[in-house]
Amino acid sequence: MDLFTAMDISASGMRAQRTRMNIISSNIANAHTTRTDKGGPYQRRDVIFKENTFEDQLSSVDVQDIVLDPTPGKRHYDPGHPDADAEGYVNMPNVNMVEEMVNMIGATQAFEANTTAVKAERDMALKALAIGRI
Amino acid sequence: MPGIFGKTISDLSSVMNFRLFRQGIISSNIANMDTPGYTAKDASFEEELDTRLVMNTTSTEHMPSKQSSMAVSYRVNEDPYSRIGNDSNTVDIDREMMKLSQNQLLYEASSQIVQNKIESLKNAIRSIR
Repeated sequence: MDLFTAMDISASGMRAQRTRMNIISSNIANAHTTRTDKGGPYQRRDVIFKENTFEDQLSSVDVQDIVLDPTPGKRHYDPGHPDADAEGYVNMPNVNMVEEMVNMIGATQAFEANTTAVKAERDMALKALAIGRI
Repeated sequence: MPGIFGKTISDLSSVMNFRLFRQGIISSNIANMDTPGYTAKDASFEEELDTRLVMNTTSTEHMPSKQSSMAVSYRVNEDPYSRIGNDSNTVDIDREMMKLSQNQLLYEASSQIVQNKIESLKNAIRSIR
């Protein structure tokens, strides 16, 4: 392994957290979407992280899958809505704003932790290069 | 690596290699802080280092020092001080950040000593005129 291996690991963490952030953004953006290509309201998405072990027990992280949240959404009474059923209820997406916000804070902090690690590795590489510069 | 560089530089470069490897392990822990079921790891080296740092004997009268092997190996274990969260992930991010800066400092300290060592050798060479 070299210093770039450690940087690659941190980069994989940043990439994974960015993907998570994108998914959270699409959940928030579609919090009131009642129509989708598949029909029905928007379904909340979630990322699945997987550990990816390579040489010497070092492990990066991969986004293994993006899955749909199967929990049913709220039924909202709005008879004037074009997507209302016979009883006047509209099926809303199963997006919980509070949950998305908490996830967003988690993703931001995890991203920043990985950035700090990249900075530390960069400083180390510079210190190693300084040995030859006398 | 015997000769004018002595054993110090080769030992220090072993230490730097270990610090680099440990940085990779810590980065792995930070990258996987949200991976369900991930167990935090840590690399240890200190025990092996103790057995490696032995004194040279310049006279037969001296007490023999324990022989050291040139091969330095590190062991990767589960981090014993980590906590278990609600998704069976054992990464404690505060601890990992602490380890990260500690490891970085120790790496930089070793590189500083190597640099000083080379500098003093250079000074010695320059003095001979």
